[in-house]
Amino acid sequence: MAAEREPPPLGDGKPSDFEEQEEGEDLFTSTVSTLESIPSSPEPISLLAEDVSTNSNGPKPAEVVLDDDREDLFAEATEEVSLDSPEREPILSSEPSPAVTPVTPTTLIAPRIESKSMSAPVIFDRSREEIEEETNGDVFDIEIGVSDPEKVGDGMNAYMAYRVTTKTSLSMFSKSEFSVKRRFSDFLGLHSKLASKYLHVGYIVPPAPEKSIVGMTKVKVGKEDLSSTEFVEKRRAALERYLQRTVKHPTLLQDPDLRQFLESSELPRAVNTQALSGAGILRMVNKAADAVNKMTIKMNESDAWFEEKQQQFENLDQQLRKLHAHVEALVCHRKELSANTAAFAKSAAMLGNSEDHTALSRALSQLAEVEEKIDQLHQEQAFADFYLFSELLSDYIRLIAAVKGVFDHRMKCWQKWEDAQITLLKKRETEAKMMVANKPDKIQQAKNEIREEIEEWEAKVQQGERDFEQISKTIRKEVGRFEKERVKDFKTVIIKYLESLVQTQQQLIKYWEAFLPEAKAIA
Amino acid sequence: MMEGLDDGPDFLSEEDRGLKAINVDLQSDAALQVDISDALSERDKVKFTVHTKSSLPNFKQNEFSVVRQHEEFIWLHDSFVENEDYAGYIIPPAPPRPDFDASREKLQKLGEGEGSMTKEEFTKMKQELEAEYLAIFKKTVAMHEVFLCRVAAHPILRKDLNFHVFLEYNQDLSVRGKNKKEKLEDFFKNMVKSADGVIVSGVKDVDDFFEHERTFLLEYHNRVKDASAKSDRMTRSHKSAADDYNRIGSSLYALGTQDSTDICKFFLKVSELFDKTRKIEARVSADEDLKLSDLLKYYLRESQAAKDLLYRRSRSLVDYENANKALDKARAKNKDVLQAEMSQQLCCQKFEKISESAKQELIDFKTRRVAAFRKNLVELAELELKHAKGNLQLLQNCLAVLNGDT
Repeated sequence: MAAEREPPPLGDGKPSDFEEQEEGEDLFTSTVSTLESIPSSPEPISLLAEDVSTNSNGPKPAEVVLDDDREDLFAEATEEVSLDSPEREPILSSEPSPAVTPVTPTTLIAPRIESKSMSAPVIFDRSREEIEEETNGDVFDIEIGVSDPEKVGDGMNAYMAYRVTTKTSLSMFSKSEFSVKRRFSDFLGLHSKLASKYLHVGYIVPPAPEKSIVGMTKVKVGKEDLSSTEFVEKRRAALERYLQRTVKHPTLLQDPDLRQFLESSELPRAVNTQALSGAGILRMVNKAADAVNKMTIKMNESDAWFEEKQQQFENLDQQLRKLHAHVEALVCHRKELSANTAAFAKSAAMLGNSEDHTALSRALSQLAEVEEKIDQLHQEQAFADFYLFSELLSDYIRLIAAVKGVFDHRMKCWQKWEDAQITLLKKRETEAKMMVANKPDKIQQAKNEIREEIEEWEAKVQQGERDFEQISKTIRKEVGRFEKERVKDFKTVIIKYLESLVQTQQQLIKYWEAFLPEAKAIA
Repeated sequence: MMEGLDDGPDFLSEEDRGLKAINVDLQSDAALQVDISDALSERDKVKFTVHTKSSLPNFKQNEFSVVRQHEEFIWLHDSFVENEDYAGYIIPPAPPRPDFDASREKLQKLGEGEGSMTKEEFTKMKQELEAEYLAIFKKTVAMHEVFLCRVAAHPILRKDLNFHVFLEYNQDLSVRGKNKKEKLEDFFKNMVKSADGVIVSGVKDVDDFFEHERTFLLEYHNRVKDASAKSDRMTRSHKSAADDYNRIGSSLYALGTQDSTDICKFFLKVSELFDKTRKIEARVSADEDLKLSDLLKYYLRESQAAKDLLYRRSRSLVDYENANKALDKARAKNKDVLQAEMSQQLCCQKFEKISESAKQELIDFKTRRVAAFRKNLVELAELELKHAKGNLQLLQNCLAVLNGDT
């Protein structure tokens, strides 16, 4: 029953040592027979009757930190599906979140998991991925396109509808290719749902594109000019990138809200994404409160990894912002260059017209044509500058903000745990005091009360610890994944950008080679 | 020849080639050769060392040098303009005043902002600005030189006494810049002149050649002005974009040195690429400036000088016609006939002299112009090609390395 080796803390009676055990995973290198409460961290304070024996397989949710040896999970088929999800709910959703709980996915894949004992969500996550890989045998294959922006409606109630096309071979979708119409607030709604479910457990949820009141108003009013077309294109591209990033995340891909977003033809309107709605204002208030809280939380960082990573992300953020500013300047100057080249082309044409030497006149006209073509080139290059390079950087600046948010959530989680411990301590002190004071008539009832409270808080403390370790683990994994994605992303996009530069130069060569004989022909 | 990557000695030779090409036939005469062998930039003035080599008997030596400042060049030019004898020639346009203000301002701003950037960034920007300063400096030297060469090449102007004094007299010419009063006088003179020019241009010319030239020059001058301004703006945008490459390269470098993942090598390589490609882009901008903008600017000034010539001719024509009328009146009244006759003779002579030389001058102007444009446009195209090919090579090499790594 018990694992082959003895978990060190057992029987130690170790005092409340809440350091997160970094080698938690190493404890479980061998098979894990039953997923019972093998505490990876030292025993909770409770030295009382509740026996934290490894063999308890009662309703008490086990704190399990699994290793990566997944096969063994499936090997044992002893326990049933944990029913403690409802219990965990209130603790998990500490932020205002809609009705959908993080645990919904369980029900979807529950049928496959009877054979396993699931007591902690960590198993869910892991197993979900494993299941996908194992039973579906799918390669991660899904392509998303956002296209065909269409204006719907009139005046201030008008909006742009975008076509979202999905091509996939994943079996969790009913068709292999389908498309739906979505508007911008739908995307924001999707993000808001995903964020509320996953952000506070440590998943890096890609941020949605930003709202722009000015941009949208122009479009609504119906200005058909260059800037509003550009705005719509910019938004379309941003939405596409947003969806692509979101589906790349294996956990988010499984989310039913995401699936609904991609598949169902009718989507309930997400009204609380509007800036001035009640929910919007609530969001702003929460944000402010969060900012204040962040400043007051002093966390005992026991894990250098987190501190290091936070510092790294801080640095990266600064560097990216600087680079982004420079690239934006480049875009601006290139657009200027394009405009000036066009103006010069016209002027050169005029000059050629008034020149009375025929050959020179012709050459000048040719020069004007070359410059006009070059102006086009500059424009295209400016687009590449922007859509490839500049947008990549701004996407990552926002992503890093999301990463920082996740780290903040971990701090908050720690704070909760800490608070729970403090409260438990106080309750115990109260109990102890009660024991000493001798008032027989009140004592029994009060004693029971306080006993109950202590039990409650012990549970909370344990939960808090588990949550904290959970979120820490998730973050580690997420950060690893994020870094890999980041490296891939940057490399791909920058190479594409350099290729655009190559093209520009090749075109330039062609144009000037065509002009040279004309210039030489001036007699 | 790694021309694109070195802003140093290369620059001067191209400058010289570039601007001298504006007047192609200048070096052909051994009798009188003038150049600016050296120049010194002090706080707010530039001192040019004018070096002359001549076999003409007028000079005491065969080879000598003097130091001149910008005001002295202007004095020389103005003395030509005011000389009635030269009314029939296109006076070579005066060189523009050396203007380092913008560059100096930038250097100052850089000095102030030193604290806010990294050491590498600061050094890079300082080099950039110093190169800019140097470029402006070289350009002004070249323009002063072209002026002198044009004068030296002109069969009549080269014999001018003031010119010889300018070349030889090795003391200060005591030519001070115009003070406020004189500048105001100049301003009024110009106003009168342009008003007069309008009146005078109303007179239709009998001679087809001049009539055609007048219409042509008017239109041409305006369009060259426009083209010159637009070309200027274009080259400046180009330079701004090149400067941005510089900063992007620095940022990428910083990213590369600080990143913890294996992307840092990638960033460093791309940063290097941007640095190199920026040098090429800066060269492109500089060459465009030289071959196109400067060409247009020069011909803006020359076409103005040609217009001035036409104005002087029209003026003398009007004077001639007025003298005719006066003579008729005098003959009618039989009073001061001799005087009127003499004055009419003078005017006639003057007019004919001007017309004759003007015709030749204008024909020469056209020849020079066509040749200069040809040379510069060909060189422009060749340089653009060279730089684009260099750029392409750089980019492709970099891409090969990056793709090989990933």
